Amino acid sequence: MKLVRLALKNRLAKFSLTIVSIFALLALIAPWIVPYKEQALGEPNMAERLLSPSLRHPFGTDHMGRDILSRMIYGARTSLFTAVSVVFLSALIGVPIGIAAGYFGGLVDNVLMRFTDVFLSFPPLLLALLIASTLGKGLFNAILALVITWWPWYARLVRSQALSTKSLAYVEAARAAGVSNFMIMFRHILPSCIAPLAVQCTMDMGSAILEAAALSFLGLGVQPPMPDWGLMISEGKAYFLNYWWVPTFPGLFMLVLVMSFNLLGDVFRELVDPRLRRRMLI
Amino acid sequence: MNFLRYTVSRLFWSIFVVLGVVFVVFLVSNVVPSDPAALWVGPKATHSAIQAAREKLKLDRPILLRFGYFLKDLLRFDLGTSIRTHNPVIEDIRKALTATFELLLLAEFLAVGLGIPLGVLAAVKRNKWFDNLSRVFAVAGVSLPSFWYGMILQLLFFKWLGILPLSDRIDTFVSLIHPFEEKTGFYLIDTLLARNYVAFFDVVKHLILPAITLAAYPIGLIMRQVRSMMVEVLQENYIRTAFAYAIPERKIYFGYALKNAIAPAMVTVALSFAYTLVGAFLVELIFNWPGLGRYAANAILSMDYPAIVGVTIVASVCYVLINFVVDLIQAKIDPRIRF
Amino acid sequence: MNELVKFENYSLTFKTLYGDVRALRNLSFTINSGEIVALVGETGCGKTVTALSIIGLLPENASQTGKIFFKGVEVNHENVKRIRGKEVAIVFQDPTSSLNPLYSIEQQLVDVFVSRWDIPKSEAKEKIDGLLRQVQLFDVDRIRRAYPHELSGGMRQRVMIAMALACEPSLLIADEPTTALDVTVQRQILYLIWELQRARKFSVLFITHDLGIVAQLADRVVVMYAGNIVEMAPKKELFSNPLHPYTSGLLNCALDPRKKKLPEPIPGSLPSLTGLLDGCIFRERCGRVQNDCGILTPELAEVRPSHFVACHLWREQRG
Repeated sequence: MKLVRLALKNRLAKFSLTIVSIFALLALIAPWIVPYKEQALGEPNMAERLLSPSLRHPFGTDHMGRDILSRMIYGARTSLFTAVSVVFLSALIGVPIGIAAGYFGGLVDNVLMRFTDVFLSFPPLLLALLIASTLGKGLFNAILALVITWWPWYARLVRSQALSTKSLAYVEAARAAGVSNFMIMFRHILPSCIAPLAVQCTMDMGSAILEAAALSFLGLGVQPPMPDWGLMISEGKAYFLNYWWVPTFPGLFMLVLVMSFNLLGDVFRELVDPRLRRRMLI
Repeated sequence: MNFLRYTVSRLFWSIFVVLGVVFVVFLVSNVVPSDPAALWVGPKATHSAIQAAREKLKLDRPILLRFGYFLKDLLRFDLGTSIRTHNPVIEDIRKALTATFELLLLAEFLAVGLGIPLGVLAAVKRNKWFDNLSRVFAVAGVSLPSFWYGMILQLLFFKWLGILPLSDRIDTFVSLIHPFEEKTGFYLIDTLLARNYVAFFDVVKHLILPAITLAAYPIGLIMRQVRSMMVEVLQENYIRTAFAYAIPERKIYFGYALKNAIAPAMVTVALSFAYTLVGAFLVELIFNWPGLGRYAANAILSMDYPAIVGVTIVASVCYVLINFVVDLIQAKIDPRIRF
Repeated sequence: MNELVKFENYSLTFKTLYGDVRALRNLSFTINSGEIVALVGETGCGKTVTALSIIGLLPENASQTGKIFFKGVEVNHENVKRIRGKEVAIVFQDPTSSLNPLYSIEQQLVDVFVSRWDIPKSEAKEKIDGLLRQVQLFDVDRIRRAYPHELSGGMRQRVMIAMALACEPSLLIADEPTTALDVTVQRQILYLIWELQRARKFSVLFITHDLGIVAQLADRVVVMYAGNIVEMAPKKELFSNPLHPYTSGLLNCALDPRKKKLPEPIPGSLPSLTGLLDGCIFRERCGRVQNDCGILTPELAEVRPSHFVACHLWREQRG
């Protein structure tokens, strides 16, 4: 929380947080505010195909005549849901394993580190592509594929934090006093991981949105007629030269949201990284 | 001596990692799916084709033995036959690889050439307007969905301005009227070797948009990383020494400081290579670029499983190789690493 | 004797997140040609910042008032570049971090030569052998090619001194040059500086917290406390007749093997530099506080020949 307060002194961070909140709000209240709810959920309206932006359809309509604005607002739901699930589930798996590896060391740690080394040797997204094509199309499988490839990063991050925390005096003291290993990990080591973890999660929200959209674009993620930005851009590919608005606006939404997450993460990182803060004076 | 020993140890490590990577790919492709044979022959396969695949994949044998067969095939460069093109996957990949690398290297060249100086400048002007502006640009770079950004560039430069071609590697008419021999597979080099300047300029024109699209991410990544490394290095005592001895500022920033910042930043350059490689999957699809990415994207779209597995292995091995080279370069820059 | 460097009512403030830090207040002192001046005080009292302000190497958040003269000319943003690394050379505290780890010794020395004398690289390379011998590094071929991490701490500091000599400065600033070194090596480095100074007659501003070094090396001593000069006198006069309570405290703190007792510490610690204080900066730790100490800021005054002190105890003796 101290992190958030410090970050909010930064104008850029304040701005980004506002945008993220607006998107989150839009996603939450989408069913009550979108002008064309049925179209947003996929109902075709062939009479109004590919209309250019107007008062009735501020961002135009797509190849099935659906209101693009409505689908975009619903798309925020898909994107945020995907990103939160991927980041949360990856952390849920990675954090306990990382803490255990860092705290106990030895064989567990060795195996884990070799394991993550191999995972980190895949170009990002590539393994997820392979897994997603193995599992088959669909949003759920796309999320699963991303989680499988992401959790080792979290395990690695938390492990290094646990390693440096476990030799601190107060942790040693707790151990000497006979506090159980589980309690030490939960009470002392976990809290020390929160700040770097928060930075990582914030930065990863942006990547998760982009990677999930890339999967959708390749036909592996969200399936039509669900509203999703990646899918909308993919569908717009066939029409965009003559009907520029079809992919442009969903992409713009995605850019703004991903950028806000990344800017926020960037500011956080600088605050958390002590190496960038030290030496106010000579 | 030391460098040689370091090289050998890194080489062994890379071989281990390649084995690990291949094993993970094997697990995902042969163990995870409920019916690997069905995946292997594609969605429209007949019953007998599935049976044949079952024979070929030796699904009734123990897993480790199957992994052995898998490795054996790999060592003979046998990645199976593509369902979509009916060619050996390795052949398809070989043809596509040069097209991809031509694009990739140009994008990476742009990224390193722009990202490093801009990152240095941002660190030097820390917290000034230039730094803030460059931060927004860098973050925009890593936030752009490449497949969308490519389309926007096509709209701008092809549809509205009409100065650059929409897609493909070379104009069909140009290649018909001004043909040239494909010696290296790199069109830039081939056309120059043939002194075919009409074709050369056409190739350049076709390269611009996909290269810019692909470069956005690595530029942002490298800029930010170089900046934060530089900020750290500029606080070091030896920089103060350099200032105290009136070493020219340009030399301090781009020599004394950058040399120290670049070694850790090399890791980012390698990582950006990986991102670019996968980014090419989407960008090549948009620009109809006959490379590995379009091949992979089409394989995914048509569920051409042997091709997907093949591309994954080739791309990952490329990445491990890049990392290996980067490790060696780092050791060359920083004499402390070898010890 | 003519004045080489002269500080005149020089003050320095750093603007930080936690408010303004007044690092130096109303500094006035001189360094004459050919003399060794020791600047003494605890860590964080502003010694290093004083040195850096002569060569204009202050962080961006610093703002200064008052004047510094070098050879009679006021130092400003422009002409400081003609002084830094040319007339004034500096040897820093930690030779390990002060040399660039990725450049060989030769490269670093050549760069200094080139930027100081504007000579081609080849010519600079020829001068390095002689330079290294002057700082008593005789294994010249190995050291030229070596990187800093391949040398010992003492050797690195000799290289730093060589770098300073390459500039043929008229002022050498030595910022605790021996603190990071082993005791035996410390003596060698001190002796080297002393010897070079005798031979070349440059002035030395020697920054230290070690009174033992001061006793061996200095001609004149300036004692600083929390950004203020509290006392200033020739070495012998200061040691035999310390006037400021802080100076006596420092002298009492020095370990003296002839005494059986442990040295007496000065109670308390450095005051915060953020607040604006009226009165004497040392009063909270002083054993001889008077009424005035909390109200009036004592000014530096000459109470005996060439002996200056800033303390109300000696006010009546002023001329």
